[in-house]
Amino acid sequence: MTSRHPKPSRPAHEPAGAEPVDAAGAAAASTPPARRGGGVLEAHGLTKAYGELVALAPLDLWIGPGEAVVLVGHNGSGKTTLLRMVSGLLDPSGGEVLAADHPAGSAGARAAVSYLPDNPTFYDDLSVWEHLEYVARLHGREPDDWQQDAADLLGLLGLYERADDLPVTFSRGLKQKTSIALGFVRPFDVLVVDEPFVGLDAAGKAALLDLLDEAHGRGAALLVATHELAFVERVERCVALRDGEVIYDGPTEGIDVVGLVA
Amino acid sequence: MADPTVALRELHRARRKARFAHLDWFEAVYRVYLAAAVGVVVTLFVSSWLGDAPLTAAQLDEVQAHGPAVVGLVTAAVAALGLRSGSRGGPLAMEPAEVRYVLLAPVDRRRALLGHALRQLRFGVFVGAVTGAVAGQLAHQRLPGPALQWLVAGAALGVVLSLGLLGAALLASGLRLRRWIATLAALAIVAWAAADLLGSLPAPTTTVGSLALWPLEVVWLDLVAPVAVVAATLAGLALLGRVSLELLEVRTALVGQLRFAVTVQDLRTVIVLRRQLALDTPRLRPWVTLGPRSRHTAWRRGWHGLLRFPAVRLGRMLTLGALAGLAMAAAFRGSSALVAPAAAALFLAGLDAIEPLSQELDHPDRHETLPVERGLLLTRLVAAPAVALVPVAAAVVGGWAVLDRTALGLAALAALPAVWCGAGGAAVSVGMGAPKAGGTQQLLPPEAAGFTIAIRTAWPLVVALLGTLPAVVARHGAADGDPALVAGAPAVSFALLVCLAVVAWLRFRDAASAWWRQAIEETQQTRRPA
Repeated sequence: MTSRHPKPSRPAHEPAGAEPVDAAGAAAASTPPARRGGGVLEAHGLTKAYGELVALAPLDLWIGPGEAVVLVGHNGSGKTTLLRMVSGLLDPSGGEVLAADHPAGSAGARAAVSYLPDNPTFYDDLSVWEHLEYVARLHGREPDDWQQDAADLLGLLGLYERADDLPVTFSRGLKQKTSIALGFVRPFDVLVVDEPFVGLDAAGKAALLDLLDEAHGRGAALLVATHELAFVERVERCVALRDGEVIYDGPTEGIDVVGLVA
Repeated sequence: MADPTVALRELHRARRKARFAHLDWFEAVYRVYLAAAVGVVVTLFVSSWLGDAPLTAAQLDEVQAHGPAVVGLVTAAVAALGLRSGSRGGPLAMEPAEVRYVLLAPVDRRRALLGHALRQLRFGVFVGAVTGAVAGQLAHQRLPGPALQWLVAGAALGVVLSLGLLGAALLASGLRLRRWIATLAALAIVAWAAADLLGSLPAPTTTVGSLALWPLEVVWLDLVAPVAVVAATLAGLALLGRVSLELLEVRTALVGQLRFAVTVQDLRTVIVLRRQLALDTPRLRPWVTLGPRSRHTAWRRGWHGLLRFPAVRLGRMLTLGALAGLAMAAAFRGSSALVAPAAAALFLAGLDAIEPLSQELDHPDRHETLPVERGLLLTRLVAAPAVALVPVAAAVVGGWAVLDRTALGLAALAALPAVWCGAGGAAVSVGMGAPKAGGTQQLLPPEAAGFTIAIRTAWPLVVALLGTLPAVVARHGAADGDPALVAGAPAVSFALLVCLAVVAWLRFRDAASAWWRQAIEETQQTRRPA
């Protein structure tokens, strides 16, 4: 690691002591899913089919500003399909998705939604730091305004010493951490995350929980597909999918969220 | 807020500079040398095949009468390919990270994609112009007119075809044309051009062919063709920002793997990836569900796979069969060289048909867990594809009948062995697999290694070619007064023997390899001093 990057203003994460998410969005959590308008993320009659295979049945979803939602479901239930359609990477077969009142995939929606995929990809010839610079600037951050945030993110995720390395050479866990840093270095209103805890060590998981708390605290909405209990316990609302259909949409409190899809 | 396009421009510039700095010049020059060498060899081969005797007046009349429509049909086929490719997200292929980070950022997508599209167009136009210019020179050997005019006309044709392919793809992609609409449009364009060739309906694509023959006759109206092609390309570029990220992402991942598979000459992987690229995937439900009666496991496994072939693959196999039939009939009528495209078509149809066998060959370690000898299993897996190829043989007879009705008995007799030889060649190709790194070739001098690779590449095609030879043999026999059926029968028998030899190779190749290895080891041991 060279000295040309700013030093992180907080140390690497030590797993323990993270405060649970404030239940600020509790009122919104009980909102009926068919609601229209005012949401930071809305899906109306959203469908995805591959020929005869229906990956996602008509789905309605409403997520309010600052709301944190966990998405659960067994393999093949449609979680990734839903998240990829929200991010604009998949074309819906029917219905629509609105992110910050913009159709998914439009420039407005792309500015609002930060998507962390479960299979991160990187440029072969860019270092972690260069990736961060590129993504931050593509999202309109000034050339000298993103660097401290980037250094802080790398410090928290324990990647600061690897900032000048090529992420394509990293292990699964380090790639995941790099992807997390890239998802957080840019501004967003909605964070859409697919299985972010897979492959992370304990410190990485705790760091990610911190970052999710922080984003939520800043007023960003979260839609996170995971079965990680540590996260499930922090959020107020759960959406459960089975075979492409919503089988539960309501508060996490008092229910066995993981058992919903077991 | 900073302008993200500045970041985009800066990064692209920096990466271009870095790539240029790390360019292995020796490797680049060697590649150019290889491409040029292959180009010269192909040109010399085609040149010698065409001959250099000027056409007679009657032949020249025929070229002027039908040439534009023939080239028009090729143009239509190219445009059809472009439309189909565009409906699947073509022609662009970028880095996966570029899709993930650039196209998901709030930048102008059209601007982000324009550089990629222009690079692809530039390369296509260059290849088209060079190939067309060479074709123009070859045409000049037999057609009247100054060499320069043929060179320019050929280059113009090549550019129009390249832009036709890429422009149609860009337009279809930008319009987000659905696949079935693109397929219908493609079929309509090709049918219209074919109708023109048969003399029933003038098609606009024929003007491209007429443009290629400008050294013979200048028709100013032909300029409409390049104008239309350029307009379609510009429209496609204008619609770049509407490209589907879903298709682009799939395409991006597959094209990278495809290029690598081509580099290592792994034909099987190329076929599998090309199918995925074309969204040519097995049906979720088979056309017909097999009953529980048959107890022959390999036979059932074969049909389970074959009955899931998508319609497009079945259609392609039948079309290839019909084209092979046409080419074999033309070979029977005098154009002997057309057995080569006939064999290539049947080889490609065979690659599709032997899928159950290929699936087994793809996993050479799977048989370790099975209580059956691998050679025996592979032999049994040949049965279902062999039967499934009967309709393709019928298509061969149908294609033959379009051009020639005098020897339909021979066509019926030769079709199935020819189709099986095509599949045999495909089985040999898949069975041999890609050349292995670190194999015995490394010990050979470069010239010998090159020769070995050439033999290895050509051998499967030779097997396929042997199946089409009855068409030529029968013609020579018929010239001596024998009926075509009788004259061709020995060659058909030989083709059947070739098929049996391929089956025997599948059955005993493992045992033969083991015997050979053991023999070498024993020889080495006896040579070692005690």
